[in-house]
Amino acid sequence: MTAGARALALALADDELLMGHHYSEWICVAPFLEEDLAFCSIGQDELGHANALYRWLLGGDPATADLDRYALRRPPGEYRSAWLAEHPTPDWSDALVRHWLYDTAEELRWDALAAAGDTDLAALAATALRDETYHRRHAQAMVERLLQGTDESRARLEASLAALAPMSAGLFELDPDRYPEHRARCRSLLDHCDVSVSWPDAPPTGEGQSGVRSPQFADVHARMNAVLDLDPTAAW
Amino acid sequence: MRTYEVFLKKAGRDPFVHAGSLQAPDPAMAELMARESYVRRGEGEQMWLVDRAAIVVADADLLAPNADKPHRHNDGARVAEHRRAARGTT
Repeated sequence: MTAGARALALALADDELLMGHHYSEWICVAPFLEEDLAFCSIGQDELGHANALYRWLLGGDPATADLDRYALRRPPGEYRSAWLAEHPTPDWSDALVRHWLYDTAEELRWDALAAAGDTDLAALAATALRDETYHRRHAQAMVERLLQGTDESRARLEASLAALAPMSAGLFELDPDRYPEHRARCRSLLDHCDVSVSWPDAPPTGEGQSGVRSPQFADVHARMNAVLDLDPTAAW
Repeated sequence: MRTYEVFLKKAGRDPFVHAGSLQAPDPAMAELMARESYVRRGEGEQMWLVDRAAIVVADADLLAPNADKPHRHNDGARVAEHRRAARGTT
């Protein structure tokens, strides 16, 4: 039983917003320049997706202030972000592995929205999927090379995978039927690199997409609002 | 890591233009990285990447003697000068 298009769209929008923010926090501090630029570009794409989804959810032609309020100023219980997206990843290996898990899942989530029967949403999905092809290629290329790189790179990624792969099931809390495909796609790369990860049988219930915030949410939410908080009435 | 030189071409008759360089472990990564480093705003519709090791860098001394051979010039400057003289408007 799948949640309706609006529920799925809100969950994805909130995740895109958080992920966009997380990617932006690597600007100037990523391991090397080209990866710094890639992360920042990918984050910008995700924020664009969030913006488009919030617009669709609000309907009509919402004013920027209304979009900002909707995106940033809801009470915590009204967000539908998955715990994986709320999770801090100050370690580069975690950030990269999460990028791979999240973007592998994202294509399936856009497929669900495209099939939901709304033409505007389907058009939005088609545009987003063009970005996602590249995001997935980037994530896969980096993860594959590091898993097959040195003993250190492999060990670090395996540790990140052990911690984060199970959390990726939470991305399908509202759409559990799509989880097996997500797991299969991830396993395909991991098998190729001879890595095994312990996956849950099914997505959780009663977590982020059900409206329950993880303990980490408050921190990232506060950072996202930090600039707006300096002067909430400023005109930008 | 290898160094790649990036060339971009817009649609139309303009040739490929050198856009810069970047480092990447292999061609596939170089493509992905170059896309984000040099083509974020659609600066080109086509992209070539050339491993710097594949580039032949010529010596300046090889080229210098040809800089002083006006008898090889083909830009019509001398003909134009003759015609100006014939018209009496030198």
